[in-house]
Order: sequence, then structure tokens, then C-alpha cells
Amino acid sequence: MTPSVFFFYLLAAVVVVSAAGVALARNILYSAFALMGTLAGVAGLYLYMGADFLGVAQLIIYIGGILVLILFAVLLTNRIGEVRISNASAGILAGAPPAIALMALCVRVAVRTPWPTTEAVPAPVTARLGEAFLQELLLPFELLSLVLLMALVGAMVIARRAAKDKRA
Amino acid sequence: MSALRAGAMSALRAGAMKWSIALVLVAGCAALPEPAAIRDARPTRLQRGERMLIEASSPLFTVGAPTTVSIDALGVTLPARAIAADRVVAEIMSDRHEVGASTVTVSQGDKGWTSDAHGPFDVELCAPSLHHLANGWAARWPGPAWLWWALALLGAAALVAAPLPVVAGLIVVWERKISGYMGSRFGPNRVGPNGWLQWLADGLKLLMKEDLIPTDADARLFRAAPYLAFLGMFLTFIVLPFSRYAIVADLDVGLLFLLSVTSLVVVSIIMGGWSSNSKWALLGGMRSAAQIVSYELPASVALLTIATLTGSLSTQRIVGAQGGWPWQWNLFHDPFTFVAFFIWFVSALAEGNRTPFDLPEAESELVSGYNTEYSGFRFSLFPLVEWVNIAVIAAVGTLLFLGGWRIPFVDAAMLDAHPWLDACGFAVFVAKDLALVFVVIWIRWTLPRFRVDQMMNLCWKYFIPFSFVCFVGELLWVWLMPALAGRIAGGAIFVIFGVGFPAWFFSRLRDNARRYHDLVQRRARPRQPVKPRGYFGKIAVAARTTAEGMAVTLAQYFRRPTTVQYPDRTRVPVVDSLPERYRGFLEVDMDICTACKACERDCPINVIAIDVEKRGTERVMTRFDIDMGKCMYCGICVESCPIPAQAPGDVEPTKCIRMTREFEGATSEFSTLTFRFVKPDDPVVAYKATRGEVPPTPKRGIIARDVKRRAQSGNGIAFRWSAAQQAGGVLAEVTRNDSVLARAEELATKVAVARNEASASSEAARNAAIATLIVDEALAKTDCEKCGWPTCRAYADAIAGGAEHQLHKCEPGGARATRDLNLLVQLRSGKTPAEAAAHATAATLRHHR
Repeated sequence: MTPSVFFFYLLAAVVVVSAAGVALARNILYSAFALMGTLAGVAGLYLYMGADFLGVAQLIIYIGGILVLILFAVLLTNRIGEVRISNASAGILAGAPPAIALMALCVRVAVRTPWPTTEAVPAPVTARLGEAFLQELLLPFELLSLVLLMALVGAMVIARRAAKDKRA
Repeated sequence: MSALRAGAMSALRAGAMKWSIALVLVAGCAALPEPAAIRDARPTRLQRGERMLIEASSPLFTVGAPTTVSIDALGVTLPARAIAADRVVAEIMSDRHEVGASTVTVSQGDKGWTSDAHGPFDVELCAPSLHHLANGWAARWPGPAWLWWALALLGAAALVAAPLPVVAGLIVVWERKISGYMGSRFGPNRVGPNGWLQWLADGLKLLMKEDLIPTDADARLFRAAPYLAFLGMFLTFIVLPFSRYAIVADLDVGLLFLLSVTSLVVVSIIMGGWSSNSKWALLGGMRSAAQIVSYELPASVALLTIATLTGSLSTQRIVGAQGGWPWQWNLFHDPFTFVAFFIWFVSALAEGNRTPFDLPEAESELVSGYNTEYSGFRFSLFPLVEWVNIAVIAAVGTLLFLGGWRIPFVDAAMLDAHPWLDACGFAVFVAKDLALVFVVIWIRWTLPRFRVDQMMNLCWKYFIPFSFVCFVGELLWVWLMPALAGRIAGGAIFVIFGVGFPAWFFSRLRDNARRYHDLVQRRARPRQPVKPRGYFGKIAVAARTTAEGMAVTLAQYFRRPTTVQYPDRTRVPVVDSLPERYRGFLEVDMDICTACKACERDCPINVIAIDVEKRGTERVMTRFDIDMGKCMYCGICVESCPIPAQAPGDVEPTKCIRMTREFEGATSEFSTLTFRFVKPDDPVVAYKATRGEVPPTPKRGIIARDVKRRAQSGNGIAFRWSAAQQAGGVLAEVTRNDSVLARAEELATKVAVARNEASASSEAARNAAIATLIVDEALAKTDCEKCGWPTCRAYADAIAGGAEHQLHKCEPGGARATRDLNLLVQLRSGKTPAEAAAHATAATLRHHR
């Protein structure tokens, strides 16, 4: 096993183990912190494959943004210490069929897709990404920012309504 | 009316003057040297392990086909790889290539492309870094290259990591010193040279402490949180360019990397705050997270301004795009970068939980915030991260806005020619970094803490809109601004804010420093505070008042500290500067103590112990101990003492027992705080006071100092109160050669005086005079009849009259009486003091051994 392969499996192990932690932890806060391992592991995989911008963006957006948001939501929830409330399980019978179906789909995709295999050379891609966003991918880029704007405005509308209700 | 006109005229004149000054200055800066000549700091030399990236403007290459790159001017051909249809990477495998000016040819099979002035490709060299040096070393050694590479990287990591605690520690000491001087104090000055080793002492103390984990805390997360914070802060050092070579890795996404790894710190703060299971910690953690998440936005957008300007996220490239002179820095490039610097700097303070944004720690509200429950080593990691963070903030500010390591007059070619200049670059970087660290600390001691709503308002209502304006403005500036106009505008900003503002600030500083009293008087009629009007008015007032406040604190920094805390640093001894009624250690003047024991009786906590023995008619104190370790300085003993005494320098009479002004009682052993006023082998005869008399006494404190010295040097060993040692001690004392001789000489004069007085009268009169001398000087005056005579006087008369030859019979007087009796008899018979002393010593030893 070359060091390169070893590192791949190491990162994959981090992702899989912490993802299991997310699913299996009885306390929702543990799930949230385990999610950090998953996200960081995926970022590591991106970096491993030479996608430096993607890896770093993953860290900023998912750990610095989404994860902190999740943690906030969790901490603002009452009685998070109680396992019964925090991570309720619907039971194996209800959970197994969708899980197995999803797994089968993932495996099928993984096996059937003709993955392009090129050598991963860590070369800078940021500038090329930027050019792509502003040239051939301009439409999806703008559409995405519209979606984000809608989310922002929506959040503000909801927050303001709640504030008004409180004042009334 | 005329006053109005005069006011209007002066305003006009001032306005006109300012305008003309500004015009001249703007005209002057148009003539500033052309900065573009040394803008690019990319190397022109390749080291082993470095890479050369060739980017074509159109897809030319076949991926996977064997490729070579030749540098034409050198005639060198390097193996290369085509990693995409338009990109080729060449690895440098020999020692050194100078590629300053050369065309480059890429060959694939029989196809070949040569670069020229217009393409078809850009040749880009990877900047040198520790990471590439490691690569180079790894390639030279036998065995698996990855192993050497990993080892070299580990070494580089250690090189970067090892100074971190030192940096944090020195900044801590520095901060405490600055805070001290700004508060007219000295700051730490005890450990090491002028206190500069305080951080070692603190660190050791923290390491020794028990690692406490609260019972109800979530132990696993509680343990993990500090390491995560440390990791996040530590990783930023990978992309900080300390000089051209001293950078671990010049990542292409350097800026984003900086932003991303610091987000680990947020998670760790939430983790620590929640897992402590303490409301203070949880509140602190939540506040911190809210604050960091909010201020990340303006900070990132402000950084985007610089990224737009440079066209790269690589830290080395950003430094390379600036010059060594201040007017070549990004800070003064245009108005948008100038504003962006302040937005970024304040946001960075907020992200680092520094005052005025230290709400997460807010010691007056939250104890210590998210780290409240931590102790020992785990606790020390949080402050470590905080102080390293200050250095990181300063470093990022330096590299983005203040020209990084760029040295004036030195361009890339010179750096290649003289590698030692790199050390200068390092020094330049560190100097700028320290200056910004100073500003961060300075702000801390100027501004009070914001309220939560103020903090949020500042972020969302001011910084975020302004940062967007900066970003868009910068885009337009780069896109539309003609080069010359841009340079003039940049020069104007440099002149106004880089020269004008410091000049104004310096005048404010001098005003504060020199005319403090004038200012105080002027404040008797304070100017009406400016009421901020509107959105921009508020900003202007905030900026102005902050600058004024910083001038005040900095002026304070240069003022001489006024303190009574350090006895070695005051001109007047502290003892003399204490108030008259200060209650320091107790002391007793044993020469005038009547052994009445009033103090012992009245002490409410039994601090004083006095042993009095009756030796014949005299009362003798064999012990007078005061346990200063227990004393509560109530002074009741002084009140109850019946003997007044006058000490030199005191206005009013004091007492035999009294409070002194001594205060320095630091000791390593509690027993040494027991002051023993009676020396072990030297019991003190009680003083016989007369009514109304106020005897003189030594200056207060002399006795206490002496007794404290004795207590600290020998209480534990010397004070074994065994009778045998006591006796042996007395014998040794009274037969010591010099003391016997001194006593003989003293008595010889007294014998001579007595003889002269009685010389005219009879033999009997002379005998009576000698007998009186014997009673006064030698005997115990107890009339105990142990000698066989009814009274001491009878014994003395018998000796003087020749009826008694046994000179060792005074039991209470002991060896001392024997010696003195012998001396007197010998002297009376006409012997010299030396002969008398020799005889007396022999006789004393014969009888008392």
C-alpha cells in the first residue's frame, strides 16, 4: 500500500466512522459534532484529489457556516440532554427499507458509472473555476444566487413577523 | 455681528489653507516613483522540488502523452506531465535554474510549442516555500522519497509550531506591560529580567495544576475542545509568509484557507461552552459563536477586496503585488482598500474575541465565559490560542494591507542575488506584525466593552454594507480606473491618512502628554459633546472619538508610572511614605519592658507569650514571643501597655510594645513569623519604671527588623529551650576572652572611681565602697541566702573585708556572678585588667563547668 492509498483509506475511514456517529449517537449534540468529522473528512478527500478550492470551500461553508448553524439550532432547543427527545428512533422496521433502498442505489451508481480516471495533480484551479462561473456556467451561477437571495429575504420576512407578533 | 464675521473669516481661511495644502500634497504624490517596477516578487530562480506550471490559452496538449519542457536560454530539458489539455507541470530535478528571461518550449512527441511575448502560454513558477524545500531534500536522499518528504514536513511543522507558545507568552507579558504603563503601573517586573520571563512562570504554574473536569460536564467533548481550538489557530501558520522563503506552503487558496481553518475555533468554543455544563460557559460559547459567525461576513468581504485587486488568493502573490514603500501598500492603493482595512481589522478583533468585543469572556458578567470551567493545561490552551490569534491577526493585516515582507529598494532579482536579504524581509515582517499587535493591545486599553446589541448593530448596519460597497467599488476601480488617475488618488490617500493623520494624532498625543494639567483645567468647561447626526455623522464621531481616546491612552503610556507597589522603584523608602497610623509588625523594646504581661493578657487571640521567672528579687523574662503569622493587627496590646516611650522622629510618645511600619514578611516557613524578643541564652531583666517618666526608645522598626532577621535565620534551629544548653551557653558567653576582658576594663574604671571617692576616709570606708560595687555589679540581689550569708550585702561585705574567699556562691547570678566577683577582687588587689580576666576565666570555668 503506497502512502497515497493509505491516506485515502484513512480519510475514508474518518468519513465513514463519523457518519456512523451522526446516525447512531443517542444525543443530537453528539450527532452534530460527529458531523464535523464527516465534513472535515470529505474536505480532506477533496484536497487529496487535488481540488484545493473545493476542499477549503467545504471547510468554510460546511464547518464554519452550516455546522455552526446546526449547533445553534440544537443548543437553542430545550431539553437536549434527554436522549428520548433528542434522537428519537423510528425503529428498525421503519428505517431499514429506505436505508437499504438508498444503499442499493448508491452502490449501483458507484459500480455502473464510468468514472474518469486521471492522475490527480495538485494544481491550482481557483482561477479556472472563477472563469467557468462567469462564462459557460453563468446561468446556473446566477440562478443559485437568486435562490440564496430568496432564502435571505424569506428568513427576514419570517423573523420580522415573529417580532411583530411578540410586540402585539 | 463683527464676531460672527471674524468667525466666518477664520473658518474660510482655515478651509482655504487646508485646500491648498491638500492640493500641493496631491500634486506632490503624482511625482511619486513608479511602483510597478518592483511589483512582482515571483522568483526568477528554480530550486529542486519546485514546480513550473505552464498554462496554455487553448487546449493544445494530449493528457498522458510523454511531455518535456525545455528552457531555451539554459538548454535544459525537464520531464513534465500534461495534467489537462491546457496545463503542463514540470518538476525541477536538478539544483538550480535561472529562468529570468527565457522562452520555454513544450514538446509532445513530434509536436512542439514555444512561448513568445504573445503566448501561447503563461509560464508560472511556484513560489519557494518550506514545503518545496522539503520536496527538494526528499528527492536527494536514498530510500522512499515520501518518507523523507514526511520527515522534512514534520521538521518544518516543528519549526513553525515550537515558537508558538513563546510568541503567545511574550505577547502576554508585553500586553501586561503595556496595560501596566497605560494605567501608570509597571506591569510584571519580578520574574526574569524586568519581568520578561513571567510567561514561563505562569505556564509552569498552569502545567502543575490539576486537570479538573466538572462532574456533570460532558467529559469527552470537554477534553477535546481545547485541542480543536489550538488546531484551528495552528493551521493558519501554514500560509503566513514570514519572508520569501519562510512560508510552509504557498497555497493557491491561501486566503480562503485562513478563513476556513479559523472556523474550527468557533466549533471548539461552542463545544467547550456546551460540554462544561455551566451557564456562564454556555452563554459565553453562544455569544462567541454568534459574534464570530456575524463578523466573518464583513471580514471575508473585506478580504475579497484585496483578492480582487491582486487577482489571486495566494498570500505570497498578494505580498508580491505590493511594494516596500508605504505608498505601494494595498492600504493606500485606493479608498476602497483603505476602508476595507479598517473593516477587516475590527472584524478580526471581533472574531478573536478581543476587547472591545470580548463579550464571550466578559469577566464582569460571565466569570470567564466559555473557558470558565477549565483548569490547568487545558485552560492554558484557550489563552494560548487567544494570544497567538493576536499575532495571526497582525500577520494577516501585514501581508494583505501593509506590504508583508517587502523591503524598500529590493526587488525580486536582488533577492535572488543576495539571499541574506531574506532575513531583512523576515525582520520587516516581524516589525510590522509587532506594530499591529501593539495596536490591538492599545485598543484593548482604550475602548470599553460593547453591549451585545451595539456589537451586532456595528456589524450588520455598518460593516456589512460598507464591505459590500468596498468590494463593488474595488471591482469598478480595477476595471475602469486609468492607471495615472488611480495612482494620484492612491497617493492622495497616502498623504492624507498616511502622513496627515499621523501628524494630527501626534499633535493630540503631545497635547495629552505635556499639558495634562491644562487639559484638566480646560475640562472644567467641557465642550458640548458632538451629537452625531445621521448615519455618516455617527461614523465620523465614532472614528474621531476613538482616535482621541487612543491618543489619551498612548500619552498615558509614556508617562512615568506612579506606584507604591514596588519598594525598589520608589525614591522615598516605602516605610517612610506610609501613614502615621499604619499598622505593621509589632515590636517590643525589651530595655523598658516591665514584664507586666498586660499585652499577653489582653491579646484576644493569644498571639503573645511571655515567660517570667523570679530570680532572687528580680523578675526576669526568659521568653517574649509574638506570633506575627497569627496577629490580626488589632493593636489592643499597644493600648494596654502601661509604659509610654518616645522614639526619635515620632510626634507623639509610643509604647514599649508598638506597631511599626514594617510590612515585608514574605517567608517560606510559617515558624519564622514567630518573633522572639528574648534571645535564647540571654534572659532580660524587667525594667523598673517610675511614674510619669517617658523613657527614650530606638526609632520604630529597628528592633522589629532585627528580630525578624533573627527569626528568619534561626528560629527553627537555635531555639531549643533545653536547660543544659542554656547553662552551657551562659558559660561560653561569660568566659569568652573578649567579653571577659571588656568586662574587666569596665569594672577597672569603676573600682578606681570607688577607691578615689573613698580615698580620704578609712580602710572600712574603702571596703564599704567596694562592697557596694560588688552588690551592684556582680550579685543577683535576691537575698536568697544560698551563699550562706543573710543578705547579698552581707556576702559582699564579707568578701570586701576578707572574711569570705569563696567567690562562686551566688547561685542566681550563676557563672556571670562568679566571673564578675573574681574580676572585682583581682582588680581591687591591683592586678591589670588582663591578669584579672585570665584569673576570673580560670576560676569561673573551675567552678561552673
